[in-house]
Amino acid sequence: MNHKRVMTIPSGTDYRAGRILLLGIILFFATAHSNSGYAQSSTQGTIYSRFGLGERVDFSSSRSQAIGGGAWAFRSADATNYANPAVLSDIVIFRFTAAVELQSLTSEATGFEDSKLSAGYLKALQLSFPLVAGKVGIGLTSTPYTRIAYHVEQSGSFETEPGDGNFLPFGSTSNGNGGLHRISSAIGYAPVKNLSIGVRADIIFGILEDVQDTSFGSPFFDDGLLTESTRLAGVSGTFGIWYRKTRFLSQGDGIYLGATLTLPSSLTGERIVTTGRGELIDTLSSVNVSGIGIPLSGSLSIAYQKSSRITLVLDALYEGWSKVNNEGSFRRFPENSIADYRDRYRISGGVQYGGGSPNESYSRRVLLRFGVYFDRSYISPAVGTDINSRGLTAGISLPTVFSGTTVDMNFDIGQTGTTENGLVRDRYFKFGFNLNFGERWFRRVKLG
Amino acid sequence: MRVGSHLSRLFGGLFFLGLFFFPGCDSTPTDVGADLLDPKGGEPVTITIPTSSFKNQNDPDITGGSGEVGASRALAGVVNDPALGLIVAKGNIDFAPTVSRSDKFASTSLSLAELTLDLDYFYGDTLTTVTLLMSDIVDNWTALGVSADTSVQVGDPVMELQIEPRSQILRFDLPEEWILRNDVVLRSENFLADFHGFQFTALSGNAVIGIHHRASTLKLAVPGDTAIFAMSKVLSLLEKTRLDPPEGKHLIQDGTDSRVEVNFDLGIDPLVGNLIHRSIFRITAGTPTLETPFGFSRPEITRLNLAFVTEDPKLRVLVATARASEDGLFSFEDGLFTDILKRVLLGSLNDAVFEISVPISDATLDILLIQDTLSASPPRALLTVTNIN
Repeated sequence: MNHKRVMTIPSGTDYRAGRILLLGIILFFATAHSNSGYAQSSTQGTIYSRFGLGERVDFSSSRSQAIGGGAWAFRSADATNYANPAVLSDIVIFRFTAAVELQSLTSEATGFEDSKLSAGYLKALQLSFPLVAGKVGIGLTSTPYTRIAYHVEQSGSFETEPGDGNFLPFGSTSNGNGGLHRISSAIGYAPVKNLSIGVRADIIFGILEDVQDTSFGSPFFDDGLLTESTRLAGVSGTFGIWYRKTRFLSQGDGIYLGATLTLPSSLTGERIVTTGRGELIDTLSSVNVSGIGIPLSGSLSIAYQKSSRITLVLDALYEGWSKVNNEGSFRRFPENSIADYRDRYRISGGVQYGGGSPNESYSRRVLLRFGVYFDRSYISPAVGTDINSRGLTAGISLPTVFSGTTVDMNFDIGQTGTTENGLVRDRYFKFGFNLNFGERWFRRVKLG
Repeated sequence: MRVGSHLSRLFGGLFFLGLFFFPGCDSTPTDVGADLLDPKGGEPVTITIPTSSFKNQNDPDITGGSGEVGASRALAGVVNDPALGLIVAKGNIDFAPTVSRSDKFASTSLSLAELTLDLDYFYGDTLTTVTLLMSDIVDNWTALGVSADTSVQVGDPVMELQIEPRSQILRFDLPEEWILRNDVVLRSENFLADFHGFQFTALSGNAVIGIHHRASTLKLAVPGDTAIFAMSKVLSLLEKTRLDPPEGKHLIQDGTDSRVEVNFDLGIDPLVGNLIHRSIFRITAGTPTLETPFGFSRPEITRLNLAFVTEDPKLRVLVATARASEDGLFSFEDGLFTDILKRVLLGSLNDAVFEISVPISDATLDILLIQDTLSASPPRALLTVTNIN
């Protein structure tokens, strides 16, 4: 018999890929580490992150960020879809993504002067590679799950002793840092031609930190810093299914349907309250916490690729927060605060236009993306009032001289909340800068 | 190589861009969102913590001292205070040589013994003369840390002393027979071990006088030489037959009822336990309502100590000293007071038990009537705290 021996070996390019992979892994854990401690590089963001586990953050891919935050059923050769693990089955090349986000926020409330806040942080590191090209794919991601970043400055005067009529000025800053981070590993598998399944394991961990800093203009009063830190960790699992059909309505089109289901889980950890700064820190209390719920969630998504240059997407997400019961005393949660849990809904849609082969002109290879979204927050400080976010997104994906590598710049402009019922409306502008590196990692060569 | 170089530039550019933007963003935080924080949070507030107990301790006061340490004077006399009861004071003093004595002093019999008493304190009837009996103390006695209920062995009377109420420095020549009887001891190198001082007790009068160590001396003279002995020890033995203080007032009297145990229940206010910015313990002097006959002097306490009572009941840690303000307030304020309260809240100290007392060095019978725990101005701690948002 005449057997052809085939084995997979690294090519010359693969050594570069190895270096990129090594860099990616280092950055992956560096990001995870930084986010598990004192978290993001800025403490400025929405006051709504004061409640619950913080502001929910979604980032499944650079492309998704520009198309309303969805596009979870969409696949293409130029980007990996990490939202649905089943879609990983379709990847054929190694990909690495680093995402940075800068945010400018204006918060307004009736009777208050507007607060202008800004922040920037490394948002995600992602990598994916095929085990069997087009059939089995692996994805590793490090992204935020929630983000806590609020900053409120108060000043005034208080009566130094009841009834004495002497008032002393003070300044008080309340801010929050940290949030939960999610490290995920996922695998997608295509058992048949048009159907894929996938599973993802998430490690969710992080520190929720609230800080109260009070200062006085008098040496007779000690300034004070009180920090409440809650370290939490837990695991979660997500299942995905993905169906695609080409030549759906015409020769050049295709339709993609996806669904995911994330099982509920709970987080455990420790809550520590300290006072003081630096080496003069006293621990006021330290208690174990458990049963901090992460809800059941699911998504449905559809993408219609009209041609190689136009794709339309529509996505919906549900998270069942109203059924979450947190155990024990935790001031951030509904049981112990004014906040109220409710189910989260997110609906988004968008379009991607452009794209072409390397042989085509640069302008034709540029991808343009637009999207809209509506997001009802899982928590509200005012019972009966929803905290909704509405926004428009846009993005441009610029090919580079390296085949498979793009630089994506995304924009998100929108608002959250309302000024009614004593609430706050945030108007924000987000700029995402993403580097998507991709190249064929392994190639098959004939031996003998 | 060329591709790797380009990638490095690309990554470098990415992070450089990030570093450029991170600190470059302009921010102007305000108080937007304050309404969504804890309504109790953010703003400092001064809360009043009443004492959970405020009671005199039954232990006798420390009335002994060496002059520089502990009590500074010895009290002697008897006074029947129509408002507060009968107090009997026995004052004990001892002397020590100030310089080495000459050979001539040691080898020549004494020709003179003169006692100088620095009288700087008076409690009682200022219109009558006080007569004290001075007796030898015949056994060794200790002063430092000794309380008012101690006993001292007394021998023969030496002499009687007539003391006018306004007297300040009094000099008495000791009797010749006493000099002859003690001549050898007074000139010996073992003076400290063999001579034990004098005790003063009341024979008549209605007052207690204080003999301060500062200028009280025993002068011994031989022909051609003189030696001065300074007061080295004082101890007041005090007995009191108490009368109840006026209703609504709590009596502190130095020497007899000077130590009051104070306890706070820090758990009664939910705000306590967060940031403590300042702590003051305050007591208010009561309006004088005591029956005071004409010419009767009853000095008032002008300063008090606040001490933390450690787990060792004999050990006190001085927290703060307060002097009376013009409106009769004693305010104890020190960072140590705040630290101790924090320690109690942290659980590293078991209980917030304090003691207010008259400084031992004062060594008087001064009194202070303070508003008790049921009055409108009870003893209380004022804590300035901030609840976390």
